Amino acid sequence: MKNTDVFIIMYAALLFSTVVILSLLSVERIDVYVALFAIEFFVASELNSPLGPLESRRKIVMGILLLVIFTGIVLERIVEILG
Amino acid sequence: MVQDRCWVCGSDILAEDNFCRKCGVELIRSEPASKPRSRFEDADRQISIGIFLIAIGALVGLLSYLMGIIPMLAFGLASFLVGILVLYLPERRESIAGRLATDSSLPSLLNIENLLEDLDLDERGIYIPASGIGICPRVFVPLAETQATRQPPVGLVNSRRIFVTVGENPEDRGVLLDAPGSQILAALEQSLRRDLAKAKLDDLSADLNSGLKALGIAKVTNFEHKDNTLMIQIELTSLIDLETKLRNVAPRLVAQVGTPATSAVAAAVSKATGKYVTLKSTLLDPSNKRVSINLKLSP
Repeated sequence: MKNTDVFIIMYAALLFSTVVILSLLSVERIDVYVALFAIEFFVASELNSPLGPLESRRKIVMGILLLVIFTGIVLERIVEILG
Repeated sequence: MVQDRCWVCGSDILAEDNFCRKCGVELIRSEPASKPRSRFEDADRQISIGIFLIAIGALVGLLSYLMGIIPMLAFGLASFLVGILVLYLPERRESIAGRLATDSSLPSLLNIENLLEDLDLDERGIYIPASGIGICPRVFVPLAETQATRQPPVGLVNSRRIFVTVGENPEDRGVLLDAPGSQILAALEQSLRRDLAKAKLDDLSADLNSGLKALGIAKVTNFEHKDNTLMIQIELTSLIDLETKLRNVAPRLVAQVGTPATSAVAAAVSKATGKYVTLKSTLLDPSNKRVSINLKLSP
């Protein structure tokens, strides 16, 4: 099985198990879910490197998007705590 | 365990061999007929799964957002994200039509390789300029480099003969071939709706780039003109399989006449400049799918 396929399967498993676990813990903040989704993306991609040249480029684009979202969430929490 | 025989020298080869142990040629194995089809179906199934996950994710996400159920919203988001990954991340496999086209053209190109080898032709092929939409320059491979064979008559483009004489001396002979990239060039001109013989060399880079992109073959990444040499770099988006195979099994053809992709570029340059064009070198960088084509133009 190609690294890309393993990456997608692993990431999907991580995402859905996160949803199940956090919902069992009664987490009601969507930013917690999204922040974990972003972290899991980087964990899964590092565990399944290297991908093909084109796939790596695409993964970097998605990684940057998720990093921007994650940074936004962290900044929001910092402002919330300080404010 | 002996599995098969080498397609060149006929010696026995083992299942794990990639190259013939006797003649060193790369072994081209015939894949089971069902394999390309299953690959094609895999790609189709992947698209269906991706679209399904995105649709489910969007629907569940929207409904749970409206109803204020956060875990369900997270579930929808997760499904949407996985769907995007399934659709966007994997490199799509070549279609069955593309694979068949590649495999079908290989034997005819190998015939040219065998012809060059049997006749012991070592000189590089000369692209004879032509004009007219869909009319491709032909390649003259001389027996020896003489005054007459350096610039064969332009009228040879219309000749249907293979063995031609271009001068009075016995050495003024050679083989006249259709360029391996002739059909690519014809399709390129048809997609651009213009005769490259009427194009200027300054515009050729843009024309080649948009034409090759429209055909889904390649894009031009570098174009340098200096004196009588032209350095063109293209990044292949298809035909990479054929390009790699030919470099292993038909070195004479690759160096003297060109592969379909490099030949199409050489023929386009010959048409646009109206000059005789010879391939000086073509280098393939398989990791980046880039081919550097160095062309020599007649003075």
